[in-house]
Amino acid sequence: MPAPTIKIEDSLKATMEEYGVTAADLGMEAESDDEAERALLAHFLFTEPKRQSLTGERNGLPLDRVQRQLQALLRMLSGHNFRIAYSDPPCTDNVNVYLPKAAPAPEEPVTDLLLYRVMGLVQVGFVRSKLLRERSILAELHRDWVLRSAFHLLAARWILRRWGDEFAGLKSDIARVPYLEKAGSMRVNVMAVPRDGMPEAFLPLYEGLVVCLNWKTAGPAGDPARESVRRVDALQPGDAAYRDGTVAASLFLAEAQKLREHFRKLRLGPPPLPWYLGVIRPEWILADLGRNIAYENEWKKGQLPLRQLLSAMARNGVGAKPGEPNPGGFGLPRLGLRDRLKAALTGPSQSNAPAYGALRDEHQQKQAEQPEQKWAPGTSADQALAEGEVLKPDENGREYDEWDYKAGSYRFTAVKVVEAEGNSGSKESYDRIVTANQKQIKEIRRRFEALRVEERWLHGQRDGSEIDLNRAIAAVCDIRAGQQPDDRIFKRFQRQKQQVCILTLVDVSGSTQGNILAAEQEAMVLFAEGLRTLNFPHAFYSFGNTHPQEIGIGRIKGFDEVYSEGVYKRLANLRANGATRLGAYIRHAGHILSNRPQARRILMVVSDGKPEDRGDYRGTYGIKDTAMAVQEVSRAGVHCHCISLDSREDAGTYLQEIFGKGKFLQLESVDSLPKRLPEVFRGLVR
Amino acid sequence: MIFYRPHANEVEVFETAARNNLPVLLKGPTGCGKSRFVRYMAEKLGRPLVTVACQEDLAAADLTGRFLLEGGQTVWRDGPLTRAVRDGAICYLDEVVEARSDVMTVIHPLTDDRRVLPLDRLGVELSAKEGFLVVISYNPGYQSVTKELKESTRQRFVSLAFDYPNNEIEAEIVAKEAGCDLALATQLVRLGQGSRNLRSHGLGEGASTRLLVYAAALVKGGLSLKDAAEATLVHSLTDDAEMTKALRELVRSVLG
Ligand SMILES: Nc1ncnc2c1ncn2[C@@H]1O[C@H](COP(=O)(O)OP(=O)(O)O)[C@@H](O)[C@H]1O
Ligand SMILES: [Mg+2]
Repeated sequence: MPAPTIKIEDSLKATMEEYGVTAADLGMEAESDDEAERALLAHFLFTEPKRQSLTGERNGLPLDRVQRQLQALLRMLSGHNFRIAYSDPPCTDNVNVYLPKAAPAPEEPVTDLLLYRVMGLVQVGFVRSKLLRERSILAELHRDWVLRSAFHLLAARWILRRWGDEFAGLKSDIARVPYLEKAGSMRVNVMAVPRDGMPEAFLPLYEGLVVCLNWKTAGPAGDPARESVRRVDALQPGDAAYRDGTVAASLFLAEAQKLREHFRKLRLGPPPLPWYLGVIRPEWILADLGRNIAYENEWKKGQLPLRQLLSAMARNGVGAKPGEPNPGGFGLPRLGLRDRLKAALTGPSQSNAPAYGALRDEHQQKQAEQPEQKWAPGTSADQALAEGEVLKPDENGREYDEWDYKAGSYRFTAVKVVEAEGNSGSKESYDRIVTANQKQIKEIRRRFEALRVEERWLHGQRDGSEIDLNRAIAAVCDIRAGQQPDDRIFKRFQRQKQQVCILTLVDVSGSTQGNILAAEQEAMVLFAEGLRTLNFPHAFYSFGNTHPQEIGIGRIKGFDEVYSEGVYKRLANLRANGATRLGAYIRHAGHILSNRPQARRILMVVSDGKPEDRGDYRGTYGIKDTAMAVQEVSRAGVHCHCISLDSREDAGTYLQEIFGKGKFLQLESVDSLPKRLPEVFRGLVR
Repeated sequence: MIFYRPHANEVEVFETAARNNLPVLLKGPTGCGKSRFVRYMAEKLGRPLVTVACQEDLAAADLTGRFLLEGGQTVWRDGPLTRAVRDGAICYLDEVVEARSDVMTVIHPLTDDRRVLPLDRLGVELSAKEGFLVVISYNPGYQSVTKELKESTRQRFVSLAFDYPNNEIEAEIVAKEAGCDLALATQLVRLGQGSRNLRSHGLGEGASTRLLVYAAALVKGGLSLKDAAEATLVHSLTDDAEMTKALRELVRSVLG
């Protein structure tokens, strides 16, 4: 019997459809399968999980209106500090929770918020209970959509029940959702499925999850599903499978496997999922695992990451050899990825690492060249596209040396920093941030008010216009007590010249895309609103370089620039792009500051991670060079401080190495940046 | 005797430290029982207690004392620290990082085996009476670029790390302090712990044990649980509109 033939092009297309990946995402024109596979792999490995949007009407409550509130609530309920990002249908990668950008039309704020809450609870439930941690289980789920769907439905009822048992208030919320029309629209992958005509064999799985399906009781065909549901519902708080996600996961998997056999006999595909339950994306989690491993080991351990990746993929059925029967039934297509990749990536080189690195560099380069339009709260993607402009160099640039710690010497004129006007856009986003933060701005101004020290009494003078009463009394006391008095008993009124200037250098490298950029943007606007009422000379610059030697620095507001339309526009339209060759940026900022007449010059760096760029500017090299840059500018009389959004525990180590003890503040949450930035500044100046 | 519910072995550690004249550092978030603990220990050890709440303007002279004019005479008035040194009391400096840095300088010779307090203005050096002990507290949560306890200071103290206690202990404390029943206290503690999940992620700090005691007292005084929670756990924690909503949702989720 001849082996069944599967055309690779077709299966590739199917895979791409399944994942919602388009040819444009992968940056390829011709879909040659070889190229496409590599692109697909690169896509999964190096791109943030794509926030895709379904077509269809989405005019309900927008997520960004409730995102912060919802995130806070879910964090409080679960004790996990994940972020809410955007994807439709909802899902999780065990780190973040992805929810749709907007609820389906029409907008009903109360219902929509309820819907978001329960959608969030399902996904947070997956994270919190560690249901999707076991690689073996993920691999099983990855292979087979029927299995995945059945598992999902069983797991979701378990998750929701546990939330309800734990929080009385949530129980009533959860009970309301199955009655909502928009919550219960059914999908397979991302395809909507009509609800009537649902096979009887599936029906019991939806009991209590989608009420409008329950008008019909399933006949004997529904027995296995009924049995599985009963088994899950019968779990009691004392049972291991009730408490422990790992035990529960294997129970659900076993039940789902039985159901799969049954459905297969009836020639049924995967049971559709109600929209509010979202989807499970094992590939995101696996890709994340792969990505983490890859980043960590990449240069240290040579070919190890590729091997791990390949075997992880093999376990998922991606790497089955061409021609072999696919172990997972109609799971993932067999692309023979492993062999091709090996051939494509290893080449003549002994180690895979360089080839692997090349693949990533190439991919990132592409990404950098055509920045993907992603949704971020507070910015409209269309706007950014229409008005976003690439940096326009308006100066020839300045050259700087770079410290090579391995050689113990400088690399002379290694980089050129080119100053250009920062990204601009509409003034609307500025106004929006200001309107949304009226209260905070007032508060910041109130606090900054105290910094207005242009006019003040100088106490403790040997000579002055008036007697300083407190000191005079102390002196009299001393004389009476037979002690040598302090003769500095006068005070003098002084109109003081402003002695402080500050340059804020904000990180807009590619990694800040999304929440971080939004927080930075808000912080810049609030800070600017506070600063402009004082007469501290101040400037804002942004950094993120697309070229390793000729790097652009974005001028948002120069020291001598007054607040004008252009400044507002640039302040509120940061755009994420590029890498972090921080040393050069600090040197350049130091150069700008050292030309200021003020005695105290402050450089405030807002960044989200390590200094890293292409080539060897990473790891220790980047850290050492940046640390050297900080030392250089401090010799020039510039005080360099950093607010870091890198919340990893070990980040303190490199931050301390670069900026020195007490010179940096590590924020655990980006949300607090707009509040903390002015505060830190106040603390420094006071 | 004042009520204090130990979390772990802190009573034992403190007693041993006190017996050996070792100064003690208490660190932990606000309202978790640090001050209460010191009061309790002072009573237990039968020593007087002098408490100083430190703030920005507090200078060394405020602690040691100064000359004052009284009826044309200059009179020396002891500061709280000097009093404690003379009386053999426990001197508790609350939130010590807030004070000016010269405060630490006068504390130093009292914390090592010299146990002396130099009073320059009087030209004398007081030796601490038996029983004198320095206890300082600080809240590492108020992480700040400028204010931090110096390593050299930190190393002079026996440190006790405080945190909010676990569910059962905290419920017990709330019930006892407010005189309410344990079921109410347990619900409040769940709310409190929920809010602590947002510590430095939107809320500066979560609800303190003190706040939970307040809430319980309000309920005991006749307010509904919801209103009591609103007045304490929601509005005392944040001014931010969205965090307010989130906290309200939390209250609703927990109380049903
Ligand atoms: N372990 C405890 N035992 C008894 N009461 C406690 C305890 N912990 C906290 N409390 C209650 O919390 C309140 C605040 O504690 P306090 O000692 O003032 O906090 P801190 O000094 O840490 O800010 C106390 O008045 C008391 O009602
Ligand atoms: Mg206290």
